[in-house]
Amino acid sequence: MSDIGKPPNPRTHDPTVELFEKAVAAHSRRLLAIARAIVGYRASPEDVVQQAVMNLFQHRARYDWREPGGLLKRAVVNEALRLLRPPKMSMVSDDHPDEMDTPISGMIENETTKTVRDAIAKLPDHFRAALVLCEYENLSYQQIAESLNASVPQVKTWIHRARRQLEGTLKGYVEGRRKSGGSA
Amino acid sequence: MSMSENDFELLESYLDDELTSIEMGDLRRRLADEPELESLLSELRISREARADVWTSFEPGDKSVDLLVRNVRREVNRSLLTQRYTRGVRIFGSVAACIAMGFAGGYLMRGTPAASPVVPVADNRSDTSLATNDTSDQPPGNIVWNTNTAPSAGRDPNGYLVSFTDIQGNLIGSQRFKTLNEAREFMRDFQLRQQQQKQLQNNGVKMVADQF
Repeated sequence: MSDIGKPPNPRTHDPTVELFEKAVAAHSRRLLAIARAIVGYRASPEDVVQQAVMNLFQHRARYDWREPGGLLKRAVVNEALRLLRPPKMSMVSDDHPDEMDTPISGMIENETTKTVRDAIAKLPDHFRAALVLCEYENLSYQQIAESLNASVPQVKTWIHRARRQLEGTLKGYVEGRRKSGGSA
Repeated sequence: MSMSENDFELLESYLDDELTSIEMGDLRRRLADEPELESLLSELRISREARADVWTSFEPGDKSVDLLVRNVRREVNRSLLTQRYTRGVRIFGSVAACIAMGFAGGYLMRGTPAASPVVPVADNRSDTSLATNDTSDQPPGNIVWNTNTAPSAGRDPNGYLVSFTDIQGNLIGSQRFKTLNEAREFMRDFQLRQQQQKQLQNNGVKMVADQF
């Protein structure tokens, strides 16, 4: 069938569109996890990620989409932190559809995991964001500092304080593991 | 012996792989010598593993990922369409603005009409034979009509020329008559028309059509 008379496809005129969509598809799982870790149940992680990536899309010509991982993570973290700024978002319902869609669905969630999740949710937003980027994304302090627009010493302090706050939550678990010889 | 905050930070930096090779060497020597530090390190490792399970539990399933990708794709399509529409509207608006500016500029820069329908004033500067006796009550106007006896009747077969000039003396029209009487009659008719128009103007009435 001839294409004459059909409106031109805007995607064909902009190669960054395809790169952008590939980047989103490749990183969306980790982006959703970061968003969930930071916003908890105070906002929808899907909304956070979608808003963050669409903000990037609006200015897509500015960015290099061949290495988009850092850019996407930074955008999601900042969007999540922006959403958490006062006034706080209202709690989303506990029966969020995504809750049953995690890899641990169908299993009784480990009590320790649940306790730590709750403890992480109580951390200050920047502590939590820095800890997620450090321990989940394995970013260096320098990269975390760039993502959060902070200095490296500041990031180190945030991560240290976050871990110290979580220490009490995990005390029983750690002792149990040590007694059972679970430590490496 | 309790560990200091610096020891905590040092061990955390070690686990985060943020130590330099020199710091790493120092720490390894200390770990060999200080069992409490070694114990603390293993505690931090266990805590870290527990948290790693938590981070993994935040990962969504395939359904959520697919939904997000679909939603983003839909938003991208919408955004692209909006951009195209906006670009079209912008071009159309620019063209319309240019046209409007052209018209506005033309309107603002328009001159006064070349020939105003203001009542002409009789002015017989060159030919006293055509001059009317009474010119004092002629209304002022842009157009002065000037009658010239171009060549005299006897010598010029073309007759008598009655020319209309404006106040600056620019020629704006002319009428040729065969005889002097015709020229005078024309002038009388014109004077009559001038008077009629003056009366109408003074009474605030606009004349639509008239006959001499």
